[in-house]
Amino acid sequence: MAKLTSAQANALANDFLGLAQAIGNFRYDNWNEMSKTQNQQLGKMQWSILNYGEDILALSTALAMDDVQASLNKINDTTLEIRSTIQQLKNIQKVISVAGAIIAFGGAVISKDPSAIKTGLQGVIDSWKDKS
Amino acid sequence: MKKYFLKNCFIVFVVSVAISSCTSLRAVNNFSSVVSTGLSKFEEIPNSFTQHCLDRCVSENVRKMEIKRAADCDCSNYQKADSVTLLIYLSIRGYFDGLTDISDNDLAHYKLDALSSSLTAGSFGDIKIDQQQADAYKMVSTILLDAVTGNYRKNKIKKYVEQANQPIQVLLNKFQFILQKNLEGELNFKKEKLYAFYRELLLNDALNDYEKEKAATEYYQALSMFNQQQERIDLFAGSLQNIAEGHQKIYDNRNKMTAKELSDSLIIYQSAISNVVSQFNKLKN
Repeated sequence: MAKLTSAQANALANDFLGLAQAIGNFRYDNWNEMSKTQNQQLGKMQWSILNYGEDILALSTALAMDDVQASLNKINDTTLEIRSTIQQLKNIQKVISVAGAIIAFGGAVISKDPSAIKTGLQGVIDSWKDKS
Repeated sequence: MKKYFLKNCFIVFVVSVAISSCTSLRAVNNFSSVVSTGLSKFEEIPNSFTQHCLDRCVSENVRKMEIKRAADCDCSNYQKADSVTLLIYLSIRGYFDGLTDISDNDLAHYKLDALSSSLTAGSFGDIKIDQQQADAYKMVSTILLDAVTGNYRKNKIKKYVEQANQPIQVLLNKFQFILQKNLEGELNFKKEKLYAFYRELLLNDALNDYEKEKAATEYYQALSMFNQQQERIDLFAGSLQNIAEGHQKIYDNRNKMTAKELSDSLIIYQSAISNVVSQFNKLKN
């Protein structure tokens, strides 16, 4: 048996609304002609149809998942790819900072200055640790 | 002389490539950031399927003149409807946020200060680099790096837009359907129940004219509130159409359009979305 689609469920809910409105109009137009019991029974039916209609609209939304599952997967994969590219581009800044620190360290080694070597080495470590 | 000419040509080429890639990315960035702002308005819509279910539960008890220690409502189907809606929203939002971030020119505008300051230290044995040379090197490197990363990002964005266009159209369309047909639809039921409740009340002979007038006033106040809620949902849902069309425009022109043309054509959709945001905020107040 074919499954109900979200669009079909929505159309069904609207039919329920129309039916409940028709029952309601009948009740109000014949308010004094009907017995209290008849009126109550019809009123109960009207209210139940409205409740079913509301439930079907919620069901229609849940059924939408069947229509969008593949698209959700595709878009979430693309978003992950975008985020990964962004991270790669951010890493370039880190590489530049580390390269700068290494050049400074190299200069310090050539100069044979112990305090400059220590500062240069610390610079390399700091730039490597820097998350930004 | 020939050497200088070639050098100038190279610089002009690099600068023009850098400028063109940056500006076309800016068009995408402007559009997607406006879309992200517009989409975030969804979080300001107070209506939800679960809330509708809880309200129904309370009004049912009021109609039956019953009080309970705790509202006994089974809203599991309504919660499921909300989680589907939220999942679709978050996926669309996540994609456009990503598109905004990757097309942001600040993302790949690298600071070369660390490199240039190391080079000007002048402690490379016999090699001496003066400040002027270091600055020139930094400037050319920045332009080159911007050009390379700009084009890299441009190609990546083209690929992502190609991948995303079909699923994003499906998701935007379904999101619009859920909001306009189902969530607004729930309010149609709420309005019908309101009408039924007050109509029965007014047909009741036990009420005097003053009480009936009061009841009618209450009815119209509640009706106006529901209409306003529907208007707000409708406004937001309508903007999803602009988003879908704008994304389609980027997709259709991903290979041939210049930055200026793309920017000009996207401005129509950006204005429409911004207009919705402003109207939405007015309705909220």
